[in-house]
Amino acid sequence: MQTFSGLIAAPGIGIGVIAVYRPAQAIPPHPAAAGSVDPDAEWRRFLAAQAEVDAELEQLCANPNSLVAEIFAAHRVMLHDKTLLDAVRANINEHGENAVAATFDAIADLSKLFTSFDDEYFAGRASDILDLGRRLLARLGAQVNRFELANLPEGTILVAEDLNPSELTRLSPDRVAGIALAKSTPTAHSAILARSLGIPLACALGHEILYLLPGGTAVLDGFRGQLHAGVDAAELRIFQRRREQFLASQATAIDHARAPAVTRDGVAVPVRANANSPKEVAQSIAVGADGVGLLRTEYLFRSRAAPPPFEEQVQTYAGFLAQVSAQLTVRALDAGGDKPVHYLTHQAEDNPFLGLRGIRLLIEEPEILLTQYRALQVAAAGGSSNVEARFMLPMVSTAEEIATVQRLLSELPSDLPPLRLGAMIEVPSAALIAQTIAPLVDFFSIGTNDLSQYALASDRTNSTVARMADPLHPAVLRLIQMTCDAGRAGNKPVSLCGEISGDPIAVPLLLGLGVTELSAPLPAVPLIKETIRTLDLDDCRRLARQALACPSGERVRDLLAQP
Amino acid sequence: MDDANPATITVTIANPNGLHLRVGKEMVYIANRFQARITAENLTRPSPVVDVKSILQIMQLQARTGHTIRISADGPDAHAALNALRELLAPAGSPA
Repeated sequence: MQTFSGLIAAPGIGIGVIAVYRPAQAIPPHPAAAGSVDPDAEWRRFLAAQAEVDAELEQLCANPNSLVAEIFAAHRVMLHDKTLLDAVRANINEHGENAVAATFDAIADLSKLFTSFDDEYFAGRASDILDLGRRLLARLGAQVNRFELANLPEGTILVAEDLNPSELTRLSPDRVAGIALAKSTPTAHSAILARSLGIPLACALGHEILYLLPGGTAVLDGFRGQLHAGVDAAELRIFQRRREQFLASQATAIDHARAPAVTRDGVAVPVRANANSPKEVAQSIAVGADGVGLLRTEYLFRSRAAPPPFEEQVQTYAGFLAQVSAQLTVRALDAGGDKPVHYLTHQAEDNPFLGLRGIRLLIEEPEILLTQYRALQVAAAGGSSNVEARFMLPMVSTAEEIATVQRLLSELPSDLPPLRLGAMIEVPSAALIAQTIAPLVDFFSIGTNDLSQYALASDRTNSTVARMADPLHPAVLRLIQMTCDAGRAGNKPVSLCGEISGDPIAVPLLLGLGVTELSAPLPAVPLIKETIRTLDLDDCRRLARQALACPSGERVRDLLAQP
Repeated sequence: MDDANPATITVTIANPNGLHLRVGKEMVYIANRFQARITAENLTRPSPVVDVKSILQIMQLQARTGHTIRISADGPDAHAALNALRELLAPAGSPA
């Protein structure tokens, strides 16, 4: 058996036959000329496709990652570029081509010209031209991929360098048993989509996987982020058993999802859901979540010219409070860094992850903070439900920041009961001084995605170093432990809301470190609850002590994988 | 700036990444606000004479930081167009 190790991106175990996806030629073969062509009709066809692609790109420009948004904005300019349009029109009018052939030739000529450039940067722009061409040709109805993603045989382990969201959505989840990607990161759109489709996925497995022989039996272990090829019959039986256990526990989990998660020694652990949108808030009850433990509010502020007005926010939060069970934790706007909000973040920063973001931006723009807090306060007071509203501050790095926010909040009218206020612990400094911060707040919420990237100085959006930003690295575990110790000493609950909270294997360790509440990705909630019901906290603490003594994240994973 | 012919300027690219996609995009936005026909040529490395109203042509200049490009404009608002482009590429105060 040959094992490739990468990053965990979507849980589950897939067993099947390898198919290697190579996106064929960069652009499709030349389409056959379709008899006599009506130039006006073909030009109108092109313009219709252009308008559809424009709408598609406009949506992509709303991507929270400013770099991605910037690239698609440039693609939009290319889409309307006179050089491209003149070439397409000339191919139709002068060469009698149909819209597909005219577009294909114009794109092929331009990309060939760019590829011939000496300068690497400008030559590289050929890939942007081809990407745009693929979009146009897809809208024009041309065959885009030689390999039919939509028609894969049942039980396929799909191996690819990377899959973009449009490729992923063409897959049929009942036929694809697992996905193995050479590149990509657990926070990429492909991973998020795979989780929602229930397809196990491991990423950053390395380019060697692209040379695996198609047709061989393989296992994709989404719990450990591994691909096993050349699996023999005995090994296969072990994986089959693990897969059946997982499927059985998942079925039980969904049956029991609404029941509270209580450990064998009688400790109830609230399991809440992370939500990015109204749709996800609405789904939280269906998956059995004990409320929403992280409501990201960036979506409220994006794609508009000014912050949402107070009244609108009151209504939005009131609607959410009516839809969740037990508790709603609203995170104050976490803009800046990689999540720019154009009317707030004016200056380009060399190091946006270390820049004016989160609570720092809120202190600069107190109106945003005060409006959001007050709106949640009013919504909570107006609701008849017994759902508790909590307000959480992102990216806290010093105690002074919290004191400043409290001073600002004290200027609000005191007619309503204050909200429970929490600090996100996602900067190492905040974990190190958690004892100082504890008396200032009502709860902690550990954000392991950012905490691990800051602790290990590894950009989690950069696939070459993303695997270093390991939330299970002992350095991160110690920061989690310090936060939990400070929470326990100050009698403050400690929640954890990173992606790792959705990994059943990590849950005993997190509880052993002292985490008292979890907020997990929506689809993971039933399984996390079911996992907690099998645990004993004394065993968890023993496990945590062993993990803290491990020399590396890899050793921690080995420890957690032991039966 | 080339004073001998007021409808032509030469600028040295100050933007740290040269005339990459983002700056190119800005140039196209600006150029399209004017009626004048606007062309450019890279004097530092051999390039065709390109139409500044097209990003796919601007890219063909392959202009990096420190490269000198000549921009010419022909039309009723030629001077205004060149001023606007110079402001983008080599704003006052930056080393020319």
